[in-house]
Amino acid sequence: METRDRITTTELIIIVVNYVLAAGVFTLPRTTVERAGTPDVWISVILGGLLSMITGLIIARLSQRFPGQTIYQYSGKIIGRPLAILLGVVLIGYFVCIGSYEMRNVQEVTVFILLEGTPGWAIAGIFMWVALYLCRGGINAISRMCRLMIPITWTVFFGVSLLSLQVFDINNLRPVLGQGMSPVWRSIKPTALTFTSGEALLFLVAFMDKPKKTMKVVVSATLIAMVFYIVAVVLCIGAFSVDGVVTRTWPFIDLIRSFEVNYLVFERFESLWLTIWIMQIFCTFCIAFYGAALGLSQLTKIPLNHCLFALLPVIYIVTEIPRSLNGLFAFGAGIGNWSFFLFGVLPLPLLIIARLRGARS
Amino acid sequence: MKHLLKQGSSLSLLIVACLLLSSCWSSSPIEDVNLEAGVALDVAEETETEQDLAQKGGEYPKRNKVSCTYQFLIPQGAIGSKKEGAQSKNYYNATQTGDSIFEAVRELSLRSNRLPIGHHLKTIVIGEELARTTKLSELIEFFSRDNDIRPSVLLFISKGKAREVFRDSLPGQTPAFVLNGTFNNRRRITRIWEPVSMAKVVGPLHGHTSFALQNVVVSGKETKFSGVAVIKGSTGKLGGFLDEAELDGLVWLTGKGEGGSVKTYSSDNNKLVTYEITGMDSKIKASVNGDKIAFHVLIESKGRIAEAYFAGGERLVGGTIRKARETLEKKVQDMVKNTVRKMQHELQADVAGFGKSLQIQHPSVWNKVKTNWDTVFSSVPITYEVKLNIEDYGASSTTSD
Repeated sequence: METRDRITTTELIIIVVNYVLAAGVFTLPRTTVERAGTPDVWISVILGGLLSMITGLIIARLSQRFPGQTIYQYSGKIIGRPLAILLGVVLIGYFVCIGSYEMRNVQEVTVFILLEGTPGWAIAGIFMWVALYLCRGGINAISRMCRLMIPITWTVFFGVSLLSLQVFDINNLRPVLGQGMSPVWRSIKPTALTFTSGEALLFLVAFMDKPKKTMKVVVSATLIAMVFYIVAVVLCIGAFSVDGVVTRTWPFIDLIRSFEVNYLVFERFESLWLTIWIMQIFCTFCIAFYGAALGLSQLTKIPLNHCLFALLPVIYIVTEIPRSLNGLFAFGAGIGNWSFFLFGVLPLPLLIIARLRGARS
Repeated sequence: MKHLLKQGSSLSLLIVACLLLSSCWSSSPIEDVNLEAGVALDVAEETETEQDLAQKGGEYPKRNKVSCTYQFLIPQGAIGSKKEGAQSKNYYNATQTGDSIFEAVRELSLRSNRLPIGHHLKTIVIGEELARTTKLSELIEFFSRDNDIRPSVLLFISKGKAREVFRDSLPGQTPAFVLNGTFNNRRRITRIWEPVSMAKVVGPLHGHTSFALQNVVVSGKETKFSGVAVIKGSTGKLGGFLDEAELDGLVWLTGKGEGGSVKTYSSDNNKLVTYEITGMDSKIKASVNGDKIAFHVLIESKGRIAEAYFAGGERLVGGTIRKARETLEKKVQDMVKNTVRKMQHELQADVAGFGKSLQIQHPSVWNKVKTNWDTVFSSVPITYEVKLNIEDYGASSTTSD
């Protein structure tokens, strides 16, 4: 890496948390309950988080062998140049898809609830240009953005969650494990998309000033993100019951629309929460966008700024590919499967080969 | 050249500023919108206005199934001159009959220049006749799908015509809001059911379990909460009503009351004693023996003596207070039994959460009976235990002379 950009361990934890927390909160309660049919899906969320932590640790180990280098740079030393280029292209494609998926979610939700009548391209346009501006500033700009975001998004998220307790009914979460563990296992799969955190480390570790602490990053970031997703799932089931949550397209947004508060300045909070959460998704988008552009730049030796410009139209086109809401959800599930293979299965053989061949930077 | 560049950049700045400062994309001023406050749904019966309009050709192809009456708020600025404004109502109702509820509200757009918006819809009232014949899930389908209308909308059933509930009100009040506000009195009386919002019914409707909705009746300008309507899980339609006393029992059974009173007469001398509830709780314990399911209900409450005419001027200590407590406990037990009898034998619907207790305490048994729970429930033996704790007796320490 020929850059002077460096980030500390805490900063990286914050970036990874911001990367993991995204549009998954909108739909996770529904997608998990649909598969399980019981209220025990919060256990699935915990298990899913732990699983993603394990894959994250493997990726961390892999990255630690090549300090200061991204996957795009070091994969050649493990599997040879041609395969490495292929892997790089797949990774770039993946990050483009993540960015597009998140942006499309923002479009759908914003047009549906926040700004009815505003065309999707206007929302996407502003979103992309601000992201471009931010990413041109490099990893430190993104890191600072993430740090700015955290106090705002966390306060609003947990504040609104507390307010939603007035529609919460603990009986909707009982009985615990009434149908045993099999529903819990079934619903781990949908958590894969929401929890993918390891992939960002494939390029982010290169910026760390102390790469030895990557393990700490994986564990803390996953645990923090897990809290958010557990809260979302538990509150939605508590409010709507298992039977109700599967009927809601965006369960978490409907949760916030399900109550009115008489004792505060505001009576309703969906607009505030959604605005804030769009900022959260913006962080994810920027990190994915940056990851894709960085890969393109390192594979082709084209300057990063040019790659950012080049990828913008690609991301926008992919964003508009799903023709319907179901298309978008299928797209999301597809990315989930993809990430499961790419980051759940692949890093282990890469690590083993790297060990066998003694590849190091 | 440099000058030109400077001009160009300031021009582009101007354009950008114009774009950004021209405010919202799809805004509409509040004076120009029709704020929906409530919706009343009835079996199709066209109003005089509608019939008149239809005669003049103002009609569209439809099957007459539902009459939707929208209560719209008139923004204060739009009322007109002050003299008139002081007298006139701040709402008006418009009825449209049809089959699709969505199409009906859009048809209303032919009768007004104002855009109806649903962000502030608070109340949906469904008339008895419609609720008995149409699935509730169909009636709220549009409202639960719409992006403006929030799932926090409260649902009511009206014995009689729902649109009557919205017709008139005391001066300065809006009927749709009066209904919602009445729930604030749950601290004062146990004959109010909990407010049930749309968010809370999508689950039971989807899972085919029975539940209760507040019933409201109307006379002239006044509305009154009167018992609950029972929506049966098996049909998804209105199955019957629990009257005020039976609702009282239901509130005790579920422990959902926040405050209120219990009145009874002492057994020996027929004198009155009234108890003010300051807290209540109930626990339903399910027991399973082989195939036999049984429930035990434990109701606990604390409160104070509000009125005591019995026992002739005695101090409220020892035996006197025990006697008062025992008669009150018996009264509560009788109310609860009466409610359960009605639920089991007449309505055949469990709206008190017995099924939920069984599900939590014996999940495997529940899985066997859940598909026809309401039928199973109607023959389940239930025992009761009521414990009242009279904590104080106010400023007067004796009974009346």
